[in-house]
Amino acid sequence: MLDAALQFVGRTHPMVLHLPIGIVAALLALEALALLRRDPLPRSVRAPLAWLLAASAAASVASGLLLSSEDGYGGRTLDLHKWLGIAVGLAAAACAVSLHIPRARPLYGPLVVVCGVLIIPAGHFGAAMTHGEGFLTAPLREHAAAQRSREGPNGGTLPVAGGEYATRIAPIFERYCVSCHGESTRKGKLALHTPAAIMAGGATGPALEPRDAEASELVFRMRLPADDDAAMPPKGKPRPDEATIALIAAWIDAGANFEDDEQTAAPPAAPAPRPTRLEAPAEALAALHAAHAHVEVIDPATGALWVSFASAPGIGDDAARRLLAPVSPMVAELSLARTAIGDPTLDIVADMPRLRVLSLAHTRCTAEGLGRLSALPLLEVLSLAGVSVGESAARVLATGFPALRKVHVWDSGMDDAGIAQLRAARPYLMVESGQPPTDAGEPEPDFTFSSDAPPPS
Amino acid sequence: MHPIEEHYLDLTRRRFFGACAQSVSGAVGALALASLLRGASERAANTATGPGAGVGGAVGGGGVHFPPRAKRVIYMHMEGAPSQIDLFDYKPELRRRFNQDLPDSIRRGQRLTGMTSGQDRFPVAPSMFRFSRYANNESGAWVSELMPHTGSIAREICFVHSMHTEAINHEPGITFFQTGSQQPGRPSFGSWISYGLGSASANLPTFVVLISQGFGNMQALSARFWGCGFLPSEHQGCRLRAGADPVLFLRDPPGVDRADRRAMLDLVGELNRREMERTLDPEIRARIAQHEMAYRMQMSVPELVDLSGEDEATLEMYGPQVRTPGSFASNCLLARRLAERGVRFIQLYMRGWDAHNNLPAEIRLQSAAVDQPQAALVKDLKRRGMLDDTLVIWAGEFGRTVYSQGDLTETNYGRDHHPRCFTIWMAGGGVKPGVSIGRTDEYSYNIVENPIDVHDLHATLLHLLGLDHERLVFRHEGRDFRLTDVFGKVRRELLA
Ligand code: HEC
Repeated sequence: MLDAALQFVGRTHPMVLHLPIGIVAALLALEALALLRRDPLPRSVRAPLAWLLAASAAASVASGLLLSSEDGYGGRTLDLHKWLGIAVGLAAAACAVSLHIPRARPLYGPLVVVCGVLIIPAGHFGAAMTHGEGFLTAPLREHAAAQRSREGPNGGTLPVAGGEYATRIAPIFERYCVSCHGESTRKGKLALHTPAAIMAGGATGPALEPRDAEASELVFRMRLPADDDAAMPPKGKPRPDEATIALIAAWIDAGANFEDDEQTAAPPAAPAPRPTRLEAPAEALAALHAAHAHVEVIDPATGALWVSFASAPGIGDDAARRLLAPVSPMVAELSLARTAIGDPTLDIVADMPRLRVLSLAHTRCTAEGLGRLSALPLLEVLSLAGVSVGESAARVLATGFPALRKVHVWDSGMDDAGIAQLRAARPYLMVESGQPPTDAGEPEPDFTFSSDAPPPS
Repeated sequence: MHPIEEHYLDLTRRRFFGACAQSVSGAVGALALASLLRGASERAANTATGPGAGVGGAVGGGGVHFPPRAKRVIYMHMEGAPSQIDLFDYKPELRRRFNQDLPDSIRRGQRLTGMTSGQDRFPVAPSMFRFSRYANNESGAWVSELMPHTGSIAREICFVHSMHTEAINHEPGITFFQTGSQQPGRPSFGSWISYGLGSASANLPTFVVLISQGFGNMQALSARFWGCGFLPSEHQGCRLRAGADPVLFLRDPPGVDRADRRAMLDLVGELNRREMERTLDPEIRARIAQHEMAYRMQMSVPELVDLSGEDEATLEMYGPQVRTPGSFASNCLLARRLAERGVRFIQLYMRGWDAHNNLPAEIRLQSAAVDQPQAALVKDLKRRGMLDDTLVIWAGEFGRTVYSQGDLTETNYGRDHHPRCFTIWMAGGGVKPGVSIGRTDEYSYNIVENPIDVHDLHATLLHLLGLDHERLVFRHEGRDFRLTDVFGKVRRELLA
């Protein structure tokens, strides 16, 4: 983390850098004029300007170096810009110093010229970074491209079929995004100039989800209203129209393929079953918070959630169903203990494919409702403490529940016979009956004290 | 970039110059702003500690770094340092060394406290208590007759006989266990958890402290032990007192009803919000949150301490003292109730283990006060299905010496402070159940197997909570701080 004060200074770079440009231009113009008039510039004008030039160039170099250490800058363009800028700074300093050393005086003129010459490429590469490579010449190139495409066979209206990355998608990124998300500038740590970079994603993760444009950050950002802070391209930059965005979305939905047509004509392979990170909808989280439920990501890799109603004991079936339904795909642990819910909520719970740990302790659920959970594929631990499920729960738990490892049945109305029956049916299931352990220990024999032991070796 | 960081960087140029102009001299203004920015960036760096950031909606919680085993902690601190020799570290051979001098080869010049350094001899005092072996998941655990209930849950317990610490006196000893440093000023363990994971309760504090008075020699317990050090103040522990007013000044004064209180909070909150916009001081945010929490606690705390919903059998399990507010039994029951209600970190203190003289008499009373309740707590958590994700820890700040402080008889002796080895135990929350870790020499003086220091313990506990102790950092005064400072290893042998 860059120290914020330094970061602030660094960010004055785009402002400060204009000073040396102006000053060197003024100095060159005045010197040229003086040369024409054969009337040397008075020292009282020359020295202050030269020193101002040196100072402002130094400030630009310093702030520029600070800015460059921020995330998102790098690459060849930056290097060129940096070294040219430093060269300008050195030349400007030498220029000012030369005025005070009689023997170096003749160097003054050439040095001013060097400054003036170097500052042009330095500025150019700087601009290439903020406005994008080829910003200057883009209108000319676009004009030429427009001419070509008018002549070519492909208009721009064919539906995208995947595999048209190079011809139809890349140019859009090129035009609207790469100036900030390219080789030399990677805003938000994201670059969009090569397939590898696109798939690498940015600071907050993948930029796109193949086959799911809706869930793709990139499309989401592009579809934000122009005045939204997170909108891409940001405020004030040229924006693609809706049709162009739709094209990108269609390409992502078709699998975000970077190969060319022939290869993708084959039927798409089934997506690899890697665990995807699920993101809970923001409104659903907000609603849970508002109801005083606790929601927490307990596996950053998969986005799996722990949801607990520990501080919302008043919650009933209607509210619980409404709150849980939108997050059901990502709930891995759920505690409904001590709430007023009953069987109706279990319909929603039955639809939680990732649920591993469930506490229904002290709720109004019944054995019948419990049966609806028997297909939960990952459910490992179930607490029924204080739930009056009664005798029949043993039968319900004996079948289904493929992953069940442990069940708490204290105070659930299941008697010893039921527990024995369940243990017999599922020998590997831990049935925690909550009976207090009776181990009284095995006491050591009586002893007396003596001091006859030999000293330790 | 984190939104808060962005917010602070959003200070515009105009604002910068405005701030400069307003102060006596521009330079001072700029410097002031620079320091403000530095503070802001430290704070911003501090808000996002983990990838789960923000989802919990928790104050400050950055979220877990990896899937946790435990979601909450009940930490029973035995203030004064119980004698491992008389409780858990079974040394039957010592009975044949009664009143022998402790050999120099064992003591090895160990630093002593001022209380025994003047003693002319160090006579070995074997425990006068009889031990029993309780079944666990190994070859059984030896526990003294003072703790029969605790022995009966040996299958749930992980005894660590090889704890050691650097401190030799109570204040630095507790400070070290609670904050990872002997010097005061660092955030306590509970505060780190609050900072790292955030709150899991909407209407109770994240970190609650309950204190029980003991029967022996008691040392002062200062609020620093549950202080938040340099962490934002919402992470400090909240002490619940015994009696009618568990939280001081929480009750509305006569004549003020809940609607009045609401109206007042709304107004003060609005003023605070404006001040925060002006000064960007995050402490104001903490203050607003605390006001709101206090308002909700006006309802939740009376409900918490009202035991009328507990059935007789449960109350009985915690022992006869359970209805006496402030007793360890009552606090153990409250700990379970707090855990059920989503409180993350529950710190119980039992005072009075500092038995320099008359140890047998004192330790009898102390043990009688804690044994049944602490075992009941573990059993109660277990039967409700909560032990799996509740980490229970029982520890003093150090151990006690094998040699007697003061006169030694077969039935009376005292023991001085001993940092080189002592026993703690843990249960639940992903700790390996039913085992004994580490071994001490036959005098219970030095560790001969598997030494575990306080930093290792902290690293391991954080690991169980889903936090990487090296990544749970807070930037303060230009450097990153951790609970484990620059030490600590996760000790896999403690994990289930
Ligand atoms: C003028 C510069 C600029 C342009 C042009 C631009 N962006 Fe960005 N982009 C940014 C900045 C700055 C960020 C980082 C701040 C943020 O996340 O909002 C960013 C961040 C992003 C992110 C989030 C990356 C992450 O993981 O945090 C995505 C996705 C993105 N841009 C997509 C695009 C797309 C697609 C385009 C072209 C249609 C585009 N951007 C054009 C400046 C730009």
